[in-house]
Amino acid sequence: MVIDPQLKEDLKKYIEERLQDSKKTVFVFSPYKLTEKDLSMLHTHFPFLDASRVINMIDKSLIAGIVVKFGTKMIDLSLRTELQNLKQTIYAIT
Amino acid sequence: MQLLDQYIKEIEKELTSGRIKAKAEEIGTVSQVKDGVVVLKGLDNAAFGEILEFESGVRALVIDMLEDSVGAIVLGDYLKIGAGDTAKATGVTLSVPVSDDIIGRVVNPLVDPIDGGERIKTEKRNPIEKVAPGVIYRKSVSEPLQTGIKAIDALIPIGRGQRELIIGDRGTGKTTIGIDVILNQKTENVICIYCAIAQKNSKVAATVELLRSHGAMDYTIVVSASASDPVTLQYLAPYSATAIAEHFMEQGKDVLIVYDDLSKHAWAYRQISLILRRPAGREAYPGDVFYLHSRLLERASRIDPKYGGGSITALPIIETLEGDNSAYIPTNVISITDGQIFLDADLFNSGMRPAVNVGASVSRVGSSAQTKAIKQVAGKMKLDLAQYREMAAFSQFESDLDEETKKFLNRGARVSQILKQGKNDPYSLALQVSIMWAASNGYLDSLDVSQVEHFEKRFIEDLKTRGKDLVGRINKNKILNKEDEEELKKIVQDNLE
Repeated sequence: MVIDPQLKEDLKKYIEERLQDSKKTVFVFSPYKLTEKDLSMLHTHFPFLDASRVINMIDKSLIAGIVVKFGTKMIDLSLRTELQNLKQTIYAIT
Repeated sequence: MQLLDQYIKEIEKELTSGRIKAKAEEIGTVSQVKDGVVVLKGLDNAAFGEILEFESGVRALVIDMLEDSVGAIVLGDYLKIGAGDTAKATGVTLSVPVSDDIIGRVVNPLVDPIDGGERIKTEKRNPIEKVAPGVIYRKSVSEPLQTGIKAIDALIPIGRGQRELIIGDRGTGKTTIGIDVILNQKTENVICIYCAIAQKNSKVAATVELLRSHGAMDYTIVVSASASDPVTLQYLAPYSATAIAEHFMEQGKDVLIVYDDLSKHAWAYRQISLILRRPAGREAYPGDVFYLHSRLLERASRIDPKYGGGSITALPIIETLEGDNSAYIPTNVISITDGQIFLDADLFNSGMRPAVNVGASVSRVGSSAQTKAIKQVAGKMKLDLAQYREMAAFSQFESDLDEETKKFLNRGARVSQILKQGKNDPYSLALQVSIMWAASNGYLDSLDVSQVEHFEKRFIEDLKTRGKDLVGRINKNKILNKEDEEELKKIVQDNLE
């Protein structure tokens, strides 16, 4: 079976675009909507945010703090994770 | 409570310092959950063999990496994991806690106790997968591992650092041999590990009880992944047992591991591989099923004293179906090991126990580790038995045999008789040597075959009481000299009357 080379080219381009896109988009999860001030603080801490599209999403289960997701990486600064870690540490000690 | 206070203080300090560590973690999302295996999307930079951690605290081990997904085996309860859950890569490879305190415990492959006792508290961890010691670090096998089983110590001797396969049909006494060898290490200064793979919990409990009642748990560790445990734990069990063994070998100690059994381990691996959709080969096993066992058994070794000494002796067990040892897994493991003890169902049913098929069994390196005393008596015995087997086959067709042949048949029948041995009744070196000496020197020829067993019992009792000094001497010197032979002769003759 011969695949039209044009089709292959298009598919490749499409996938590359999508990959680029997902890499450039950064999701910031927070328990409440971040204000402009919060966001500008984030930009100073994480310079890579400047070059990407930041989408703020609300997740009340975080309790406090933020989670930054980009591509397959994540920076977890939420209270929920802290508490979970504490729970596991206590379990490990006892 | 004190610990909690300490922890809270620690948190306070962390918070007031105002320094929040921002660490980017690699994450993936579960797309499929199968029997003990999860498939995740994401984790672009995860490594093979890395540990993943789910939000619930359950851990998983990466064993499959495809173009756009990662396959991981769950270490623990996989039913708590659902599609859409996230897992983060921890950057560490799988290891188990090891310490001298594990001796006497029953643990699962992650070294969590399953005997109701305390958790094993230790800082040291050993990696589950480790590359076997190289050529430079090794020393050839030269020290015997006394199994306490006459048929094995005399004809198929095992040395420390050897890998000797125990192969046979179900119910032919494979586990019994493994356990008997462990029981005999009581005075031999060998740490034993019994690794039960996919066995019934009731059977493992019975084995532990047996070991305990013989006082063998003082130097034995039981690693068990039972039939109801996730298949992934069954797959990890032998590697984990070896990681524990390596802890003791690093201290220069001698370790014995019984893997009971590796056919079930191969089944567990086959299941995992099929779930991960790896291409199936012969008998539906994946292509790397040879490597599965070779990399495990290669870790059994004897280390040169220059590099710390110590050894791991491996006794893998393989169960065959209908005596078919040319099936895939049996042939693989036969070729990996340094010999095999072949157990025969027909022999077992005819009352020859242990049912060691002497003709089909072999030890490729053990003879250089045999003690002098056994060598003195076993050499002749081996010949007697070989001739007996050959002639027994022919003599069935002929009625009148010449004297010489009759003599061989006579001797062979008695030598075969003394290779019989009761369950959980290991013989010390001296007792083995004494009874074999009596048989190979023809003292039993005058006895009726049915009386040999009775004689042996009396003789052994006599040796344990009247011949105590002699037994102690042979056990210590590991050689049979002229005076010892004279003394033996006297005791044998006393018991023949």
